[in-house]
Amino acid sequence: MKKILYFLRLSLTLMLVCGVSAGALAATYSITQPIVKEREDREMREKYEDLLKIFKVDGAMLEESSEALEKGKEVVEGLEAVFDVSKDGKKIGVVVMTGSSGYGGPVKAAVAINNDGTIAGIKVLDISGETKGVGSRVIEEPGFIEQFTGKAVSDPLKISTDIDAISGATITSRAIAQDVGDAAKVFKEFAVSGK
Amino acid sequence: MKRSVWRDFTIGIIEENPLFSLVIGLCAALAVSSKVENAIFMGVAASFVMVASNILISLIRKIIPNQIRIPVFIVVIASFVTIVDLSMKAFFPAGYEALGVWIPLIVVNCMILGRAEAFASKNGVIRSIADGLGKGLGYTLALLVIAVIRELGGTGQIVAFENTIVSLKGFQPPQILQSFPGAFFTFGILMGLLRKLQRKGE
Repeated sequence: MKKILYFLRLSLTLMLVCGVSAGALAATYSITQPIVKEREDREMREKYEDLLKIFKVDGAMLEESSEALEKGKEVVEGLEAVFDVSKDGKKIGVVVMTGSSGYGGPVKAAVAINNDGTIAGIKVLDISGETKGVGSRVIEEPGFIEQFTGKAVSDPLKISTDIDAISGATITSRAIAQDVGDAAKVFKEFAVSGK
Repeated sequence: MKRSVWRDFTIGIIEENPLFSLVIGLCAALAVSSKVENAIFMGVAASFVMVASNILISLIRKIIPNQIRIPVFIVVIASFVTIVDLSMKAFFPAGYEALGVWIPLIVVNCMILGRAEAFASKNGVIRSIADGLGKGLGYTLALLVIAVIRELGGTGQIVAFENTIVSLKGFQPPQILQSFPGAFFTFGILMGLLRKLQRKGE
């Protein structure tokens, strides 16, 4: 009997210590978490502010969707990130960051797609592998990127079908079109949920 | 014969310096001492945990049965480390990013469990605070000395909290000081020098 009481005392002491510890940690967490969350949101906003500008909506918020990324990777190899864009808690579109191979390396772009399936805009993120003055003209000549804006994701989005390539920079142009097509594919397959 | 509280504090700085004399908690120390800024963050974080856990363990030492003292110590230490981890994430994000996994790893830093077992579980609160502060200060100073040598020697300048504090001109810094072997060299040489000085004093 004495022994049982002793073991009971041991376990109860340990339980008490752990309970107090858990309480202290919960308190600390509840104090620090809002601060951390706020900073993370702010950093995220700063990082992707340019992307949000494509939507031309004030106060839009980005939220990374790891689920769409995971599923999307099965269809699009170069997929890097999928963001849900929302305003006042309502989803207004998605941003798909993806890359495909260009002339001298990956050509990466962020493609913003409205909820109704039209392309809101494109931001080219990385063309560092392309030839300066040739492939780089895809961002230097504004008309090229603008061709995609307003097109529907159901359009073919193919160079020389409904998009004019930059002469002399066909490969880079094609890579951008490929990025947009991939983004459209991801949008069609996974990002359009009833949310 | 009982040591004075002041002695409990001062002994941690040189004679029982956690790094140079007791040679404990080296792993984290060598990893974070490539930058002065990181050394300061790590020193303060570890000192806080040590003082806080020393206080609490000293307070509850009489009600904790001997058989479960180690798990209790670990829970206490882990709780304080998590508090530091969460607070740094919220208030010092730069330091949190730089130190990374070394903050949670303070839990298994034998320096802290060592003080709990060897000192705080046997002594009163005031003496335990003095012990924690002394060992913490000794640890921080030792980290600082190593970090100053490694950062100044390895990069030619010391940049802390976005200010360039010292910058050496016309000096080709040996990058090895920034790497782990450089940490071992620096540490070994400093430890040897300190031993030699101590022996001379005797």
